This record gives sequence, structure tokens and C-alpha cells, in this order.
Amino acid sequence: MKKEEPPLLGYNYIFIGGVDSVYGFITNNNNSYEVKFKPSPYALGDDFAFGEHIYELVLKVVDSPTDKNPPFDALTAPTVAAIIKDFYDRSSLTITIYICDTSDRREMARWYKFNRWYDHFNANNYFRADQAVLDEKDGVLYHCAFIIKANNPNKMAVITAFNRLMDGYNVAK
Amino acid sequence: METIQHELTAEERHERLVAFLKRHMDEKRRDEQETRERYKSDPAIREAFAKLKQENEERGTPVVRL
Repeated sequence: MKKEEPPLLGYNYIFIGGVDSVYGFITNNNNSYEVKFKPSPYALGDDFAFGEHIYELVLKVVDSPTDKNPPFDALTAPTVAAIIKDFYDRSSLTITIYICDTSDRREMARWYKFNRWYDHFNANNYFRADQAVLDEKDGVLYHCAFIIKANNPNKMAVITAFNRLMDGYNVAK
Repeated sequence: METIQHELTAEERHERLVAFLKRHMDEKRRDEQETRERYKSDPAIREAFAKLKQENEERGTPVVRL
């Protein structure tokens, strides 16, 4: 009798590499995603001592058969979580910044997605902080977050720098 | 980084932060366009996705465990 294969917890992904540490995966609906970690050394101010470890998390659909936003897919969140974990396994000092794209006013949907990705982490191993910034003139809410390993020795410096950024003190020009 | 000559008010700091985030969104849009173009033209990326597609076809449809 053929042994039944265990259910999979996510899609296969591939590490492509490059300056932006690009990963890729393809969904059942043939939507191709790129997840990348873009070096952002000045994101927490140019006097931040650990800027070399800062990366901005970017997730993009690079190819879609319908050219529309892909529908909800239960395997996307665990796949993105696995990719993020893989990246932290390469460097435990990584500081990931995430700023929701507001360009098409779908920032709330993206924020919910980000929260789903984070839910797939082992929360005990990671530390996260976030803040929303309201642009009253344009009525836009910017969601900003960072994730580090809970045992990151630079944790307090990261928290301080993030809070100062959100208070408008060390904003990069 | 901008050198602050005087103590900014909370409102001024907030405006600076919002301006920074708006610039960042413009960069994101440019970056998104570049990403899509690179996906179409970069042989390494094309090859990686082709390999992934082949692996997926060999593996079959993943089962969702909720």
C-alpha cells in the first residue's frame, strides 16, 4: 500500500539571492511571488549603530495569470513565514522593517496579511513592534513594524531607534 | 540625515515623518516596476522560477492543513 504523504505546510520556495536576497514561490493558481529583503541601512537613522543588519521586507506578485490581485490563499502566509525564518537563520541579528504600501489604498488588507504571516512565527522566538502613522491631510494610515529575534543583543537599541523614528526625530532625509 | 538647528515641535516632527513615508512609497512604486521588469528579463530569475514550477508540477497540489 502506498504510504500517504503528510500535508504540506506551505509552497516550495527558492532562494535566488542577489543584493536584495530574493526568494520566489508559485501558488496553486500560478501566481508568482517574490519576497525580498532590501538592505535599508539608514531606515532607523544614519547614526544607528547596527544599520548593516536592517532590511525592508518586500512581497510582490511578479506574475499573475489574471493580472488581478490574487485571492486569499491559505498557503501563502506559512510560506512567507518560512521564508522570513530562513532569512533569520542566515543572520540572527537581522532587523526586518515592514512599511505597508499605501499606493492603491489597500494598506489595511496588506496589514492584515502581514499579521497573518507573523502569526505563523513562533512568537516566543521573535519580538515585534509596530505603529500606525496617520496622514490627516490625505487620510492615509501608514502601518510600520519591525521584527527581530527575541534574543537579539541589540534589542533595546532597535526599540529606541524605532520609537525615535516614529516620533519624527531620526527621519532619514 | 537632516541636521536639526532648533527643537522641532511634535507637529513638525510628525510632518517630517509623513513626508518621509510618502517618499518611501514613491520609492516602493519605482522598485515594484523594476522588480517586475527584472522578473521578465533576468535569466537567473527566469531560471529559478522555471525550476520551481517544474518542482511544483512534480510534487502535485499541496494539501492545506488549517
